[in-house]
Formats: sequence, structure tokens, C-alpha cells
Amino acid sequence: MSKHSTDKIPFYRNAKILPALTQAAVLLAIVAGGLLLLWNVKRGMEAQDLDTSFHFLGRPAGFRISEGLPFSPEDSYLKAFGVGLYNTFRATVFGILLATVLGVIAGTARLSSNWLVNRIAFTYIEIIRNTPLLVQLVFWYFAVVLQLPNVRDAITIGPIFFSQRGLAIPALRAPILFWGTCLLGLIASFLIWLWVKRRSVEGERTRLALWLVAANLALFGLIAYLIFRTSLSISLPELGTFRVTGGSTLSPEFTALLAALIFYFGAFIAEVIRGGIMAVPKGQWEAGQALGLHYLEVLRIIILPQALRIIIPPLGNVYLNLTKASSLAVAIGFPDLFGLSVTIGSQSGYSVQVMLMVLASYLLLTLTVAGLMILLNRNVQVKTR
Amino acid sequence: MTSSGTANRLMRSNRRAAVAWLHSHLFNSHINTVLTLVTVTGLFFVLRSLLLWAFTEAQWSVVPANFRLLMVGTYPIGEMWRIWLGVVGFSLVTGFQWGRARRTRLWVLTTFVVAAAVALLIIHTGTIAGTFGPIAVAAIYLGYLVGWFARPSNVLLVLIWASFFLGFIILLGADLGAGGVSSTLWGGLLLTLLISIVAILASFPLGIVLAIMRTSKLPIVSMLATIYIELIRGVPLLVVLFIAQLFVPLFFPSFFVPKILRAMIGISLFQAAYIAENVRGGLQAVGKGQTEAARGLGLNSFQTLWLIVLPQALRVVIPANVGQFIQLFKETSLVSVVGLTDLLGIGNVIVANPNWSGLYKEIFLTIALIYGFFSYAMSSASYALERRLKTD
Repeated sequence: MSKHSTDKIPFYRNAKILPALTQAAVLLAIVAGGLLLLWNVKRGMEAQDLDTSFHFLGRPAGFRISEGLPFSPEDSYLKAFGVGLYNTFRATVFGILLATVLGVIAGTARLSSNWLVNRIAFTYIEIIRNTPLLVQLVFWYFAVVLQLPNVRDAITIGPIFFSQRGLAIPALRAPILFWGTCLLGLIASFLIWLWVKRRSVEGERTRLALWLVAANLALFGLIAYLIFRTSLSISLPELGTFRVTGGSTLSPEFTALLAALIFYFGAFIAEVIRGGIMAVPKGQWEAGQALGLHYLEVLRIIILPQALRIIIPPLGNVYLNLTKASSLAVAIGFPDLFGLSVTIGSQSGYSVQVMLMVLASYLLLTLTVAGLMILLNRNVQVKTR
Repeated sequence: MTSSGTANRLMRSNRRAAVAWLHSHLFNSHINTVLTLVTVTGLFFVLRSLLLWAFTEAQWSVVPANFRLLMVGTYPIGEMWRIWLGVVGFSLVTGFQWGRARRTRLWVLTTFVVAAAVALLIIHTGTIAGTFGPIAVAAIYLGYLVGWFARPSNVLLVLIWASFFLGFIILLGADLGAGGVSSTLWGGLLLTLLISIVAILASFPLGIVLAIMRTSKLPIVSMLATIYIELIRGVPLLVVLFIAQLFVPLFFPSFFVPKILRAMIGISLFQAAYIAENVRGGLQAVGKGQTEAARGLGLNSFQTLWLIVLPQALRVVIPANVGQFIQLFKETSLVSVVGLTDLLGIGNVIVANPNWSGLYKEIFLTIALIYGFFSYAMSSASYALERRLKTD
């Protein structure tokens, strides 16, 4: 009797069948639920006479876009979406670069032995991190940028003007081929850097690589300058009565968005950098100094390589958050990817498709940033053979 | 004579200590001296213009004039007693918890509470605040006494909090004969806190379930959780919120889901993915020996998880999760973009009023201060909790 019962384990207690059964049940529940929801969506769209295709993207948009690439109301929805993507990309790239600069400065200040500098950096970081980014963004736009004097009385710092119309900076006017040559030079420099670094084991050829990169950049710069010498010009902004002429003008919206992103994420980057440098044991400093190295040499040769290994992963997270946070621009009317998509969706009625495109675009953007950070991370991690 | 000599010596040693402090903290090298001087000059000008603005130019009267809007939004004045009843209930339960702990020094409590009551009475004599304010203060004492003698268990305390919260939400909107209060009228700080608390309570268990699913040995379960978490973490909250506003009515055409609930669903689903990643870190930090020992004692896999692994894992991730909850609290401000009048949304309404036009700085600084106060309170509470749960 007892032998019989051990032979035949009931299926709901069988360790081989049970997991498969559970998984099948979970999958079934999710697929069924998903199909039900999708069916509801489809029925809802049919009730509004909308199809489920993407053909509407070819129709003319019929609205204007205040900045970004040139765009007229006759252009298609797809092009409007592209302009939004471009604006988001622009805000993200400049945001990441400048926030990193501010973050490094504030992080260094936070590590300073100067009490006053240290406290100021601490206050900045705490104030920024304890208030919402959206409140800061709205503050920057309404309470700072739009309250600046009008163009006639613009605040002037050298060739840079701050006014209600945004920020005017000098610009280099050059044909597109000039920029192409410069980009080529940058790529070549990057390849040279990788090539030299790959042939070294523990970074002993850093100085050689730096020289080669500098020489390469100078070479490309000289070539580009010599070829396009005649068509290059520097355009300085000049104050008119109502608007700024010449130079490049950042719109008030873009200025406020950049300021908010830079100051907000700069504080987070400062904390990441401080954490990374503090995480290197104190003995490393002392050992470096005992070897007779100068303070800056200890920092460059011993501390920074170790700190970078700790800093890069959380830094990547901050960059990802910045990329996503650029969508808040919609609150101040900057035509970014999300803002324009809302307009496209409400104007065409095809919100469902547009939102799917938005999801895909943001995933693509964040995956790109994450991928670049993984590459960078691989470059600084300890290399073992 | 001797006493003045001692005083002199004390002063001199104090002065010497101050000079030594200045020397070591501000002037310990040439670079630092220059840095200090430059910073002091810059700080002087910044602080001067800031103080000049705050005390001469700023029109702070906009804040008291719109105080009710900032606190509860457009909630009807005639129904304010519902919110005040909630405040009384909150005071009662808080006092109850303090009394139960028997640790709070009564005189601190007393001075604080009496000061608050007097202030309320002076400002709001004859108003609803003047009536309910003192009742709320009395409720703290009542709760304190009851808690002191009753000393309820943890479970009971959680139940009391939960029923208070549920009762309050029902009371906010319930139709009591003369019509209810539509949720579209809820706003201000009230709405911000409501959305935050609901989203925290909903996203935490959801995040734990997702983390357990992701670490599961069953490939399909783990894959589904991974897809969900990575998908959510790759898109902005604003997009998720917008999709929740747009898709929830499409998903469930036969139900009416209020805008507030849609926002709560969006934020909870979004934050759950981040909580899940934190909890996963905690789950992985619990040694494998713990699971093996538990199984060796004859616990089944659910008991192992519930009694052994989860308590240890959750303790490890308290700081990370509280950080996430503070983030959530700040990010509730995004609901103002999808048309709710939370604290920030009501701020936008106030500055759009021609009577207060141009007072952006005053309003937005006040709002930032309120957010900052709650964020700071949450992080302090997290430190206290961490200290109490420290086992070693």
C-alpha cells in the first residue's frame, strides 16, 4: 500500500511537472490579459473610425515648430517626429556634457579642505536634490529666463548676451564639409587612442597616446582650415532693438531646460564623483606620498584610475536619468520628442501609434547611452590576463 | 578679580581656538586663502541681493492669500470639515503611536503642540481652523494616553493606520446626503501626499513580487519580469503617466477610472520596476547558506522566502528604497503636466491669476520649500529606521 503511494506522486506535487505548469499558467494569464486589453483598444479605435496602421505619418502636419530643424506646416507628421527626436537629442547631449563639467567642479569643491567652499557645494547639492526637477525647471523658465531684461538692456558677458529672448553666443559659420572633416578627425583620434591603449597593459602609454591624439587633431584642424579658409567666418551676436542678430541664439525654452538639467544632474554627478574618490582607501594616498610622488601625481596615477572604476557605472545611471528627464521640457513648451508627439497624437487622433513610437524612441536613446557607458566602463576596469 | 582673570583667560583661549580653526579650515595654503577670499566676496554679493530681494522686493502676501489653494487645491470650503476630521484622526493615531513607544519626552511634545494651538487660535479665531485645530491638539494627547496604557501589537498598529487612511480617502469623496466631493476638486499638497502614499503602498509589494519573479529559477517567469523592468526603466515617467491617462480608458472601456486613479496607477507601475531592482540587490545579498539552512530545517520554499530571505533582504535595501520613495514623492509633481492640480499644478494656477501675475519666484520657492521639507523628513525617518533595525 505504502509502496504504491510513493510510486505514484500526484502531478500537483511532482517537482518536474510543477514548474512547467506554473510557467504555462503565468504565460497564459499574461497573454490572455494582454490580448483582452489589446482587443479593447482596437475596438475603441474602431469606434472612433481610426485604423491601426501607420499611414497617417505621411500626411501634412499643419502646425509650426518653433525651433530645431527647418519645418513648415506642409511637412509630414513623420518629419515633425524627427524634429522632436533631434531636439531631445540636442538637449540630452549638451545636458550631459555641461552637467558633467558642473558635477566635476562641485564634486571637487565638496572634497576641498576649504571649509567655506565645501559648505557651499554641500548646500547646493542638498537644495537641488531635495526639490523636484519639474519645480526647478518651471522656476528657471518663468522666474529666471522670462524675467531677464529685454533685448535692449541684455546682460552682457563679453560676446554672450542673456535676455528674455534667451541666450546669444558667438557662432562659427562654416560649410557642412568642414564639420564633416572635423568629425572625421575626432573619429580618427579615437581610433588612435584605442589602438595605442590596446597595445599597452596597465596604461603606461597614456602620454604617448595623448601626444598622438593631439597631433592628429591639430593635423585635421589645419587641413580643414586650409581647405575651407575662404568660407569660414565667426559670427558675433549683436544687439538690435527687439532682437539679437548674428551668432547663435538659444531659445528661452532651451536655455531654461539646459539650465535645469545641468544644475539638477550636476548635483547628482557631484555626489557620484565624491563617492568614487572617497571610496579609494586612504592608504593609497599615503602610500603614494610615501613613494615621493607629488599630490597631483598621486591623484592622476593612483587615485583617479581606481576611482573611475567606481564612478563610471553610477555616472551612467545619472546620464540615463538625464536622457529621460529631458521629456519634462513639455512643461515649458519646448518642442521635444514627447511634446511634439503629444501634439501629433492629439491632432491626428492616432495617439496609440504615436505613443508606441515614443516608447521605441526613448528605449533606443537610453539603450544607446547605456551601450556607450558599457564601452567606457570596459575601458577603465581592471585588465587581467 | 580672579573670576575676571579666568574669564579673560577663557576668552583668550577661545580666541586662539577660533584663529586656529580659521587657519586650518580657510587659510591653510596659498591656494585656499585666495579661494576663501574669492568665495567670500562672491557669497557676499549673492547673499546681499538675495536678502534685499526677499525683504524688500518680494511680495510674500501671495502665499498666505493662497494658502488654502496650496494645501487642498479647489476643495470646496463648505466641505473642509472632512479634511479637518482627517487631521484630527491623524493626530489621534500619531499620538497613539508616540504613547505606545513611551519614548517621546512629554514636555517637548507639550511645548510644540501648545505653541501650534496658540498660533492657530490667534490666526484663525472663529474659523474652521480655530475650531478643529485645538480638537486636533487634544486628540494627540488622547491618543498618547490611550497608546501609553493600551500598548497594542505591531499588527494592530498597522491595521489602525491602514483603516485610518482608507477611511480618510472614503471620507474625502463620500456622498453624505448632500452630494460627494468629486475627485477632480482634490488638489494641492493634499493630492500630492495622497498620490505619494498610495503609490508607495502599491509599488512596494509589486516591486517585491517583480524582484522575486526576476530571481526565480523558472525561465519564463524570470524573463517576463526582466522584460517588464527593463522596458519601464528605459522610458521616462512622463511618458508612462501620459500613456496611463490615455490607455486606461481604452483598456477598460466599461469602467470609469478617475484621472487621479490613472495617475496613481501610472506612478505605481513605474516605481515598482525601480523598487524591484533595489530588492533584487537585497535578495542577492542574502547568503545562499540561509536558504540551504532553511530548507534543511524542513521549511518549504514559500516559508523560506517569507520567513528567512525576505526579512534579511528588505533590511539591506531600506536606504535604497527610501531614496526611491523620496524620488517618487518628488516625481508626483509630474502629474501637473497631465492636468492634475497637485502642489505644482495649483502653483501654475495661482501664477496664472492676474491678481498675482509675475509672482513666480515667491510661489515656486514656497512650493520648493514644501517639497524640500517632506523630502528631508523622509530621509531623517530613514536614518532612524536604519538605526533601529541594525542588528549587529
